[in-house]
Amino acid sequence: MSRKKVYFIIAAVLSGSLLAGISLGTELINPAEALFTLLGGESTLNSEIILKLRIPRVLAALFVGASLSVCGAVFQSVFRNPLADPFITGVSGGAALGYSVAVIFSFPPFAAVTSAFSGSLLSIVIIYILSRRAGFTGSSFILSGVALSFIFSSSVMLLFSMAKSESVHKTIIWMMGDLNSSGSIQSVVSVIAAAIMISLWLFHRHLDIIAFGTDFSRSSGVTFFEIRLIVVLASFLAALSVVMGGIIPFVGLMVPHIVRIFAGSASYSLIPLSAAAGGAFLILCDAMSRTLVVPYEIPVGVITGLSGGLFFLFYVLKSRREF
Amino acid sequence: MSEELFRITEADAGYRGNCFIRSLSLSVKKGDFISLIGPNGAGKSTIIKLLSGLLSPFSGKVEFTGTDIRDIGNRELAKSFSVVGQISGEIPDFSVKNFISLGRFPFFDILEGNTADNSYIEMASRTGVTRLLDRSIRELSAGEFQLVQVTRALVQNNKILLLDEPVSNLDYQHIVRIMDILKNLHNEGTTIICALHDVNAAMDYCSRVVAIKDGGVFFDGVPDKVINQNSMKSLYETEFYCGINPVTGRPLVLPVPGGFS
Repeated sequence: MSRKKVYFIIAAVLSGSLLAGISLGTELINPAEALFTLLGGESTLNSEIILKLRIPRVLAALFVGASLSVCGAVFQSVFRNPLADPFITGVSGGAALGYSVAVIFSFPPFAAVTSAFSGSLLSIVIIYILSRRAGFTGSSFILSGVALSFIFSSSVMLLFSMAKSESVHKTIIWMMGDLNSSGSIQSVVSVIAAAIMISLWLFHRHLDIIAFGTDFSRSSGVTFFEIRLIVVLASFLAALSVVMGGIIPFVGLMVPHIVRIFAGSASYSLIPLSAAAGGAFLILCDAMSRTLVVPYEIPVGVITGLSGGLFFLFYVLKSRREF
Repeated sequence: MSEELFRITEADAGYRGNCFIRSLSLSVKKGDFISLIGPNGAGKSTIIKLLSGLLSPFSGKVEFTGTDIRDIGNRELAKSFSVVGQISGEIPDFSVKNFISLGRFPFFDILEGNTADNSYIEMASRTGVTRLLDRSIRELSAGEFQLVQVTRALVQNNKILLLDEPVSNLDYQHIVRIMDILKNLHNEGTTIICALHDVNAAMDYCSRVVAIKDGGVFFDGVPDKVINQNSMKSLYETEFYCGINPVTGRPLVLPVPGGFS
């Protein structure tokens, strides 16, 4: 498929999903009315819902989905592994541990998010130190991330075994993805996430080269420092997504994969296209999570896992190509 | 006496503490066309890695134009010479055009836009890969991909070229095409160092043969002077027939069946 066509299709899907995300919910709003409100129409009850509830939520989904997909695209290139995802460095494990500590010791809500963020930063620092000591190769990096994730998740289990059941429940819901968790800091976090995505995109030439392996990168002029900087920026992006939406699986693994199939691996277009497609996908999943079982909300991570998983499985079986 | 580009002095090197290269010294002069030959595991690729700065010696020194190679930044090295190595693992989905343009990387600044830089087109027509430009590198044959890799390296730097087994496992057409490209470059003054399995290709094309055995230099010199039945037998530990290639006038060696005892 020509790259222009891919750009066009993804832009169309993104605008469609934005509109759907604003319209769908406990209260169904006519897309035409939604558009009218957005263009500055007069204030009604629905426009209150749109401006106060739906738009912040849709934007949160947009930024979380984009962050996860960009991070996944970067990690798949850097670690040269199609199964690399945003949480491969142990970022989600660290976040889960931080969040559990906060909930179980009854920190205030804002502190819970901060604590989750600190947990993911801790894992980034550990990974960074390990990468300095052990040198840099894709597989050792992934293995240390897996080891770290196990250590963190066992610690979470340890906390659970000692905690009251309602706090355990709250943490589990968060660990399944919760786009309501960021609240007041959402705008700040979104701006930082956008800035990191743009910086990573500026590294598109580095990413293209790193995808061919360590020796190739070094003899092309990429330094270890630059590779580590890219890994840290991308991990930071994953940590920000955790702050905004809890732990949402599968988006970062699947979206860049599918974009690659249609648009190739060149990072100059892969990164913006993954961001747009990831944002659109999460907006739609979030809209589904709000509408499938009204008035309850299904955790969005369940929807991404189920819908994405089924779609991906179907795609892999149907296309029978090597990934 | 021409200018010295690379010098390895008394280097011990290897991976994870295992020494492959033992107190090896080698000097590369401007305009050399060196082929490193020798048995598998002798250390040919390791020497290419030492010269390209990808591997630091445990002891001893590697210098490029008189400066310790560790004191030169990756980007500076990438501007000074290019390397064609082995790409292992999954090959990302790039068009040939995009892949060849990666050779321009060390000359770009991070904030520079995706400017149309068409210097690769000229190089592609030189190496005869123009008709492949819009294909994906994943769809190429091994020989075509190797040609494309050489082209990318030349876009990066066409004055000094290091190659790790550029023609291993290729069909004859691609061996000839790649070696001819290297020879033409050499005639224009390019310095070339390559690890080669094919001793006859080494002798037909190169100006200097360096034989590596057990991590050290076994013999080193002009093909006609150093290649003979005895030197080949001691290098590979099997019998050889030695003659003269009627086409190139260079030495020709053939391993004798049953020659290993």
